[in-house]
Amino acid sequence: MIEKIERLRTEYSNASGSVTDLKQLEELRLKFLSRNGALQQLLEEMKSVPKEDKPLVGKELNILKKYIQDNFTSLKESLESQFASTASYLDLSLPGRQIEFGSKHLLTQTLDEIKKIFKGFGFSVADGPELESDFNNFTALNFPDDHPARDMQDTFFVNKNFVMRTHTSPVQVRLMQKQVPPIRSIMPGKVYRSEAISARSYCLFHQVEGLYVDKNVTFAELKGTLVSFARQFYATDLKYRFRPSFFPFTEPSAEMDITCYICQGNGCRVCKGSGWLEILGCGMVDPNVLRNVGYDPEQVSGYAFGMGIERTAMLKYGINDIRILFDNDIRFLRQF
Amino acid sequence: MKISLKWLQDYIDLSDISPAKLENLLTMAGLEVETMEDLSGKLQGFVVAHVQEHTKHPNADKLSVCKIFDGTEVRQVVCGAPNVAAGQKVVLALPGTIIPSNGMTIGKAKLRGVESTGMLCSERELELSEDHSGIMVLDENAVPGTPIADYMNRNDVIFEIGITPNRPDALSHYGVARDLSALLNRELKLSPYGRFEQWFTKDFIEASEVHNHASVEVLDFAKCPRYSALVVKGITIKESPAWLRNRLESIGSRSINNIVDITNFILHDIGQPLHAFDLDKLDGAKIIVKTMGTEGKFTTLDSKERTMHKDALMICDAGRPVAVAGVMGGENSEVSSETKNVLIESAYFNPGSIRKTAKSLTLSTDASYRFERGTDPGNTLFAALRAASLMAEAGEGIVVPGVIDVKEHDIELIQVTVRFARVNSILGYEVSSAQVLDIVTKLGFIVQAKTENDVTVLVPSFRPDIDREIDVIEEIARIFGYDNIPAISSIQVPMIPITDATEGLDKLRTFFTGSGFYEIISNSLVNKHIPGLENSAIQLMNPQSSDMSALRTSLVTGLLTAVQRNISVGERNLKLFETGHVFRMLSDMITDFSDIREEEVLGAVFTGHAVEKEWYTKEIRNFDIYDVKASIINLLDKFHLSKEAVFVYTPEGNSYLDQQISVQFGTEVLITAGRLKREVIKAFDIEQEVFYLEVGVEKIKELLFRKPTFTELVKFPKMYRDFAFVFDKMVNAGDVELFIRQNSSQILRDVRVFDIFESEQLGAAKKSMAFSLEFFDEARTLTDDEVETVFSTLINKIKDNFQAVLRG
Ligand SMILES: [Zn+2]
Repeated sequence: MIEKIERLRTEYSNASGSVTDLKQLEELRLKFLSRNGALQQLLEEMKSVPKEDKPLVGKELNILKKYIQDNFTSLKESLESQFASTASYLDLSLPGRQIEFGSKHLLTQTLDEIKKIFKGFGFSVADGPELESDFNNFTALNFPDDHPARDMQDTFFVNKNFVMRTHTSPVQVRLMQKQVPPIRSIMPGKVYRSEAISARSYCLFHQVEGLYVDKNVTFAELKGTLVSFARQFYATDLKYRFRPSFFPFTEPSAEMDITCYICQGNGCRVCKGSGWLEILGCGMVDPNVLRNVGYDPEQVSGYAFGMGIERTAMLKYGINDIRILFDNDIRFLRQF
Repeated sequence: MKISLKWLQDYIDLSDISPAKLENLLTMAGLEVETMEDLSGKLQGFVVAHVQEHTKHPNADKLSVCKIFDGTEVRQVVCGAPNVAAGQKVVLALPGTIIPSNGMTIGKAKLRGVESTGMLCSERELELSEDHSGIMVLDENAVPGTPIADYMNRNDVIFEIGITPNRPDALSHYGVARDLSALLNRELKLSPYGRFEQWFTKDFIEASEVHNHASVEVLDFAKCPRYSALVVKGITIKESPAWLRNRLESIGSRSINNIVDITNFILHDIGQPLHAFDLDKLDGAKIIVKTMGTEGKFTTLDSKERTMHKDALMICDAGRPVAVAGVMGGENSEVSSETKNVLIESAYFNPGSIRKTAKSLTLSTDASYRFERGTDPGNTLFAALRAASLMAEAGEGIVVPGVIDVKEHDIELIQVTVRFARVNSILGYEVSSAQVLDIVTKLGFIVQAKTENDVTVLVPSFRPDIDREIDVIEEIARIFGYDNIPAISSIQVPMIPITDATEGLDKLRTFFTGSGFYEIISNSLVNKHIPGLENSAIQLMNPQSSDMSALRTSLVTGLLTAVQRNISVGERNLKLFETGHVFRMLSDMITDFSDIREEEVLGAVFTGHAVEKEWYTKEIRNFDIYDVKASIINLLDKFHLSKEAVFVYTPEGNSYLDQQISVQFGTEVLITAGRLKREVIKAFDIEQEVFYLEVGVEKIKELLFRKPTFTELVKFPKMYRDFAFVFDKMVNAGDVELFIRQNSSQILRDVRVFDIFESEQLGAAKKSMAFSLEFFDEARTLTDDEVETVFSTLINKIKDNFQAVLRG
């Protein structure tokens, strides 16, 4: 009998816990509290309880009865009061039961934006290791041994043959070694340069490079792609210029500038008075690079470009110290 | 590299072009102007003046009162300099002038009761030198009223140009002028300085007299393909003439003496580094160019003793080394104030060899900088002759007739054929064959043959960067103007599927940010000494500091650094995550990629309050392992991995975690989580508990794209039964749950633990656990009886299996 009482208690408490409206409340009443309800049945079974057990069973049964009646009454009141606006005063000015969302790092958000634009152009996204062979990082990319071009990127060495990649270009090499043209891909990732840590430089940064190799890829198409990117990413009405530069793995090589949107090209501190902001480097893939991966430069040509995400984000969000991006101060992270 | 506008005009007429336009022209031709400085700018307002009268100041011993003629009027100026005297020509700052050294504006003033309208200036005040011992005294022929910028030849503009490594030909004023001549279509002129026509006769060149005074022997032609030398005798070492000093000073190079200045001048003028030896200090009046083959000590002319690599090319006399070829001369043979006779070295060295030597000495000089990029092997004799004629002029010496010019063979110019169609197919724009011919000719290429389809040219010796068709195409594009090539708007779309290798990672990032985590990005270069995490870390050969000497083996380092930093600014309650590569060595030596494991992982930390004190909460609660477990289960559910995932519990943990929970999927461990051990967080000065969760991105990446299959929604009611048992304390809820699932009918569909407690009544080492069971069948309504049967059978099995006692 005691077991039955306990079971009814559990049964009731489960059932009442799931009641959310008055209709369900009435079902609950019918099941447990009505004339044919479970409680009434149990009370009737009291008659057949042996005499010596009656005091204990009777006591338990009374407790159960009181529990069920109290619970039902309060449930009824609370359900009814939901619809009676005057029943109690609600302070609606109290803050809500907040759940804090996190956020992606500003650099990830910037990269996401860049990825989205290039995926729209039909670019895939590839990645590769950060600890690279000297061959993939330099030699395959047409950096001769003992050439000053190697000084352009201060390199962290693990040993003579392994380096922390200084650009994501070795991913281009890996892609081309693996696939045949057409290749149209961007490759984001961390790169490392042994530069003193200051407001302007850090020992690592993030890069996105892009590569397109196919028949008849031209410098004019490179310009078109990048101008379209810059207009989507920076400003639709920007002015731009391409000026000759040097990268061992592209020829012709160029750097792309856009009008400084802080001073509208009049010259300010950010653009060092020139009115222009350098946003990326690019060029036509050097025939030596194509040959190094087994392509025939007479059959296919390609373009490549690369930009630093830190610089891009700093320009876009007016951040003047690169270190804040790596300090991971939550007060900074919460801003984006 | 600094380029003076005045100096450029020795070679090309730029009088009608503004400095701003020139800046743009150079930048757009690949010679990027980084800064532009108008030297006369800070000399505005200073004029030559004549001190007509000089009397003592009536009220101050150290001051004097001068009557100064400024070219138009006589003014009274109070002066404190000890060296001022009547009759001097001096520098006068007119009222309104800004003093460069301190930014003060000169006005009319009364000094100790005497009016002063202007100021006489020292060199330091004009930022010409550090000299402040007295006012500047000018040449007695200086004309009062002349602007100082004119008097000092400072009406010049200096461009700081960033020259890319492929353009050694532009590392001089002549080189820059050569590009401008192609860009502007203007003729180049001869420099007015060092006109050597007087020496450069056939008779002079062919004379043999020089061989009686010096000899040169090259023993390593691979490293020194050409060595030219001239001898100048009877010179006087003295201060350089004004034009020469001005030229060098304008580009920030200090004047030393006439001979050294001339070698510097030629370097900046035409890009050929020279070295002047004191001929009398050369044993045997002999130069031997050779690789020593053994390591040795050598003292360079900066008085530093240096260790020479055995492969370094050295310039020797009959007995000993006298210079590090192409890098720096030796102290033992340098030109001094007593020098009378000079040997001028003008050589072409192998770029790679000079680079190796300079690198091994960690020494970069103006000379080595140019040699390692590639100087013009065709220019050595010309440079020596110009230097010799200048030395004869400025040092009153005599150039010994005849030239020394040692080379194995004549320089062969490289021949390149450029196909017009190829120019267009690379650039995507039609540059006419006439334009191509025009541009290459202007750049100094020699046209050898031309057909309808192509042109064959000889590459000038000053362009070591060009030996292929594509190199010439770049030159054509550069001079044609990148901006004249259109940006086409029709982009070809290749018919290949678009893939994204980073998509899985992005899904994980989105999951974690949605769960309230902030993403951090930390330095992957870390201190190799981190407790519990230092195993098989890969170290850098050339780290910047010991704090950044190894590659991270775990994301714990960066996350804890961030936690520590945030705690230090009062932010103690944190949920952070990072994704990134971690690195381990798989063998003692890295010779191949198989010796490295580089892996993408995601790490997350939980620390501080999980529940804050709010108006709707009862009390603060700190994060514990069950918050971590919740994230794990959410992650598995979100990506439909729960069914196959197996949890492994290791309370004692591993080298850096305790309370460890791992999730296996097949044989792979996808997730490891737990509490960071005390010694780990102590290493980061953290006192509060930090929980850590790590996801092996590489392993889970592919699993994140699973598509769930649809199951019909259940149409029949579910039934619930609950029970509670008293168990031994060491019984795991998870084990009971598993037992229930495995020892029941298939109508049991879910088990959930909903209450756990310990109490005195239950007894020591006991606990109560209550479970809720869910029953249903897709095909029918269950009856009370069948549920009851399953339920009571289960009760007995649990009693037996766990020696548990049913409660209630
Ligand atoms: Zn600006």
